[in-house]
Amino acid sequence: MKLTLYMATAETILLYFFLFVTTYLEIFILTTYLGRRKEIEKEGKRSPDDLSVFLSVTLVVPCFNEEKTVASTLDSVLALDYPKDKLKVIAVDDGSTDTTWNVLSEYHKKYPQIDILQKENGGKYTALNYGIEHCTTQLIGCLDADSFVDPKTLKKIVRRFVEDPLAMAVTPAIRIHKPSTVVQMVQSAEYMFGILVKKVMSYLGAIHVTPGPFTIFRKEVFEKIGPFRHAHNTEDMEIAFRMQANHLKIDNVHNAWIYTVGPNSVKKLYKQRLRWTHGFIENSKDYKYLFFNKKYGNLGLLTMPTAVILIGAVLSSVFFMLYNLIHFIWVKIIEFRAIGFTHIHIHFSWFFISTKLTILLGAMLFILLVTLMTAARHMVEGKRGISKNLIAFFVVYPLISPFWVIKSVYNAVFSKTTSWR
Amino acid sequence: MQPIQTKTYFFTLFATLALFVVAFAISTYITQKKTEELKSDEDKISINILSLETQYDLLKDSSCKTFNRDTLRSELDTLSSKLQFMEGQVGDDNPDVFRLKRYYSLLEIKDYLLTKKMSEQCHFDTIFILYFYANKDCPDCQTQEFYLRAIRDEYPQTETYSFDYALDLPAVKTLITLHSIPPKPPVIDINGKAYASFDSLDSLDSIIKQYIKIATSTPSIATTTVSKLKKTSHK
Repeated sequence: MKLTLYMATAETILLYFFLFVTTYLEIFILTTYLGRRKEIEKEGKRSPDDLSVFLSVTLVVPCFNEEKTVASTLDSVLALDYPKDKLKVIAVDDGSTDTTWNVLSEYHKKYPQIDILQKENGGKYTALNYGIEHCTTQLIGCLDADSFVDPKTLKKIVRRFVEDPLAMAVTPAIRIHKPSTVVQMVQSAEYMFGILVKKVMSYLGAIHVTPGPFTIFRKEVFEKIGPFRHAHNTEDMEIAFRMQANHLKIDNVHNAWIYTVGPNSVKKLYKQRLRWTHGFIENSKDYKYLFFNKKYGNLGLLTMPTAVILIGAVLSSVFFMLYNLIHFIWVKIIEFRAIGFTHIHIHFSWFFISTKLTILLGAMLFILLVTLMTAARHMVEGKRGISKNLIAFFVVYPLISPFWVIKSVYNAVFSKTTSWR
Repeated sequence: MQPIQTKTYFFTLFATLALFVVAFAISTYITQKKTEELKSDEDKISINILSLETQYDLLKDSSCKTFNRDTLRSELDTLSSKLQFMEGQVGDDNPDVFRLKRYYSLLEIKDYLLTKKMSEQCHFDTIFILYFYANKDCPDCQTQEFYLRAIRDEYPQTETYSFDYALDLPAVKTLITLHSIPPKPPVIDINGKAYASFDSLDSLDSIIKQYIKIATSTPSIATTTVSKLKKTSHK
């Protein structure tokens, strides 16, 4: 009985704390978005063709066993609407064991602007750094070999560099390429929401990831703070942390479209998210001095603390849900052993709808999230309302996401590592 | 580095607090409405009991054929479920819920006395079960409630009244004294004889069967009316 009382008290305190922090974060994002909505809409309507200054760009494409997707990736790069003499491509074969090198060689023969390099397998960050070492252009971009670029994307991103000399990296807007499975539909809604969040975070100077697919950096970034690092298999997160720590501005263009192939099964998604979440925890530990440090602005005061608290929220929710579920099952077992299941009385009345404060706050939080996600859909697709992807997100995501969060924390606590594949 | 938007931080804090206050106000308002609904239900039941008592007093012996408390029984059961739900929502130490629970217990006693009186007067074969439970430190209570639910479903001639042993109500305390209820719940009093917790449904069932045997060996003049009484759980 005492345990039940302690659990109920702990649950109530934690529940209110997490509800408060989550609500605070959602309102902060919504407020910033609404305050900048006209600016965002105006930016979205600008034609990328009004760009007059073309900075030289090299795109580094690291490849490891990408024989099936690398051709499409290179095709999308070749189709970019950008002067050919200003755009170079360096494809780095990171010791592939399939026919990736053959595919790259064929492209190199056909298209002189594509350089190809080969090295022993050493991980994505080593392939990126190897490519960057051979770059001489003003801007350097990275593109994962499972992603495709919209032809106008580079112009939109370069324009940001031209107009803002302080912008040291510019992130694109990533969308899921042709979502077909439920898992990909879930990711499609999630990525759309991510586009809005990233835009808001760019206004706050609080972006903590420069995604692998097509983030463009000024060359001086690598000269100032060094190349990519292993960083727990999340080098794109670590370099963003390092840039923020060195007060190098990361910007975002919310309509610079990149399409990435999302994992098509729960197992693959689990692996990917485990790597991301674990990477975030480990990088947060490495850069713990950023937390609650006014010197690092909104990143230190808002983004990083709330992200860690949200991990705690997921953990405690799962713990208490499991506790309540076990308690419920235990009572049902007692009932079954006592009288079987032949004496069940079901009586419905509106009176029995719970109106506890936590339930109402949870409902308000949900409404806020739906509002943000539909706003994101409007921002990205120009459509209003709830899509089937959004429904899939709300149904499936809460069921699967706790697994990688729990495993990430477990890995972090017991110093386990995650793998790429 | 982008400047820290102090205004946004404070505005968001204010908005979040405002949202919490609104949610609190809505929750309190709805709880208050539900409490009022319960109070209204209790008043209605009180009037129904008074009406039945008056009817009984007016008709005396001839009231046996017309005595029917199906509606009252159903209302008491619904009220019981609602009270139990409210206890789970706001806690059993909530003053409003506590007051309503005391009132409900009084109504139960009044209904018990009236039904018992009618049963004796009209020779109904009703078996009266008074169940004393506790919300705290009573590991066996849950199982006993399951047993009683099964018994009510199985034997329509049983009438079960549940009382919180710890409820500070003179009428309940008098009932405890009169029936010599031991101080450690759960206690199940069947037709005036107190039993400690049963270890199986079968053991309770066999006791109930004995009482039914005794009751049915005495001719009943109103079995049809009694069989109409619906039995569902109420606490």
